[in-house]
Amino acid sequence: MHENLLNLLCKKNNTSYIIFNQNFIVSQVNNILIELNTDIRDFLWEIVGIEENIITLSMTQESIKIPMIFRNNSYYDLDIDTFISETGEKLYIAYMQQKSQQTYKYAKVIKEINKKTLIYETSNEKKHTTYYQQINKHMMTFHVDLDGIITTVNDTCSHFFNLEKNNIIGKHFSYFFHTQESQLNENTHIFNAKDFMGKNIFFHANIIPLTDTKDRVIENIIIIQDITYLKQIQKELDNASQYDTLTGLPNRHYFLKKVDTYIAKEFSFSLCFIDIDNFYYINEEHGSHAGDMLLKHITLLINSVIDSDDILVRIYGDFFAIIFSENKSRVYIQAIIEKLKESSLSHPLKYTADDIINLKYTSLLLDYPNDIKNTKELLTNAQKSIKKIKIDKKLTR
Amino acid sequence: MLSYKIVLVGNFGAGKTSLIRRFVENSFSQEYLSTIGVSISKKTIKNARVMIWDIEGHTEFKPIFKQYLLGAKGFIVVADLLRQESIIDIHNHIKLCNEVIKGAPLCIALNKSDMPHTLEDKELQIIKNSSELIIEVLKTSAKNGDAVEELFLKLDKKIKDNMSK
Ligand SMILES: Nc1nc2c(ncn2[C@@H]2O[C@H](COP(=O)(O)OP(=O)(O)OP(=O)(O)O)[C@@H](O)[C@H]2O)c(=O)[nH]1
Ligand SMILES: [Mg+2]
Repeated sequence: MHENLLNLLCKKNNTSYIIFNQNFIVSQVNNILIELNTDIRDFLWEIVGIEENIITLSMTQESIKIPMIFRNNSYYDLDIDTFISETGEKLYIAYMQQKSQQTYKYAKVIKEINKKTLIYETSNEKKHTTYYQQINKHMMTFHVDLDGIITTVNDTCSHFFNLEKNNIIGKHFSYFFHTQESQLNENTHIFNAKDFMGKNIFFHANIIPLTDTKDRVIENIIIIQDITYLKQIQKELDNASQYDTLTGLPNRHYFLKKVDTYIAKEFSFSLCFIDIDNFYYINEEHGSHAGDMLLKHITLLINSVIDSDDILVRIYGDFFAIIFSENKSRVYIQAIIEKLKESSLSHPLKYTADDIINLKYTSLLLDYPNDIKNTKELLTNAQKSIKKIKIDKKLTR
Repeated sequence: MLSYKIVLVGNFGAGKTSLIRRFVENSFSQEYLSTIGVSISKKTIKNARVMIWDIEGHTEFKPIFKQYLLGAKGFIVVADLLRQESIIDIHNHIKLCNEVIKGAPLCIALNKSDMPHTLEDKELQIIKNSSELIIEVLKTSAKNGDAVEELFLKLDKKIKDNMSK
């Protein structure tokens, strides 16, 4: 019965599977030409070398994923998971899911781009303009000004959203694209967007700053490429970087790492958590671009009052933290927090001439080792405490 | 039979696929069909079954996938003698390999040696000295076969030495 169900599901999802035991001996398969009771590695070469990783898999752990394997003229993703059989034996299952037609089109485009780029890179007339023109034909490209407003888009872009160019130009790019937390390096980012069919697509984006003669950035060109399939390795991308794209601040990964090292070294340090009040409503009322601008605004304000050796981090959303370097006195920190309060009162965000957004926030000061023991529950607890303060202030979110 | 995995890494178009094809099938094609994702070849080298992973090259738009490097016993980093950037990028690739598999040996292939190029032989030593993990730096040609066999065999020997330790 179970076997029939599994076969049915796999058939529907264009998936083949192989079940094997810890000696890598095959015990069950669907539509694959592999003999039972043989070593799976004779057939599934991709698991040679990762036997350790497989054996130590546990049911609570994420499966092992190897995407985009090309074999016999087709692409598939491989996924390996473990489970306990009815007889109590720990077994493993390898699924191979055929990629959709879309993937083949994508592969074809990338092959074309690489071919042209290689010819170009080996040729002598290596001019940037022609280079970008070539890429331009295949990839979504758009220009944004320093406020994130889209100023030009190419045809690929308007095809993707099924919108006329002038319906895209003039809008903030976050209206179409959502930034993922990870940032692979200074100029490479991960975005996602919904195409006109409503399908969520992930992109790898390169941001190329355009500068004027005095080396000032005047505009950014953003070139993006579909990487939906790569997203399966979300974890890697998440950890790949420690900086937030919107504000340029260090992010949660950085924060936890830093706090962990401070604790390990037994430094005494303080953390000030800051959560903007009514951020949700600000986004609703003034739009998400205004929300983004407010986040940038508070970043600037905080950075202007703290010392250069104190670190401001954007944990997520409108939740920030200041890591005060070791041995700063309580009095000093209180003075900084007071200064920030004054500064935020006197500097609301002038979003437009008649749209002025007041900046209010709730803060929470914690010390190590008095209030903080480790990083495990630190963020959840800090958020809970802040929420409680907000409820007391009669602010609900 | 002993089985192990090696991975070829490097910038796009450097000749990873071509080197493997020369080594495994003893053939070559002038046409460039960029690898998307990964394809795996199998070749027996002196009583060992070697899984050779041909992965998508690094481009300006896409980093190399760490997942593909998992479980490798050694790496071949391939650069294109005709493209300086691909040579400069060698050290990034070495870093990545070492991040995933600490201390795994690697060979460097400076490929397309059949074409006129400017890299002098003394620079090979400089590259070699740049990392302790490098066991050999070779100028190779997938087109005429120069040093291709040597490249894979040197790595095979080192890996077998490591495994029998
Ligand atoms: N002259 C010459 N051309 C070569 C040599 N090796 C590869 N090529 C050519 O260089 C181009 C790229 O070779 P590939 O082997 O596909 O490069 P790759 O590193 O696998 O590229 P990606 O899969 O995109 O990462 C092809 O047109 C090959 O014919 C060589 O030794 N000499
Ligand atoms: Mg290739």
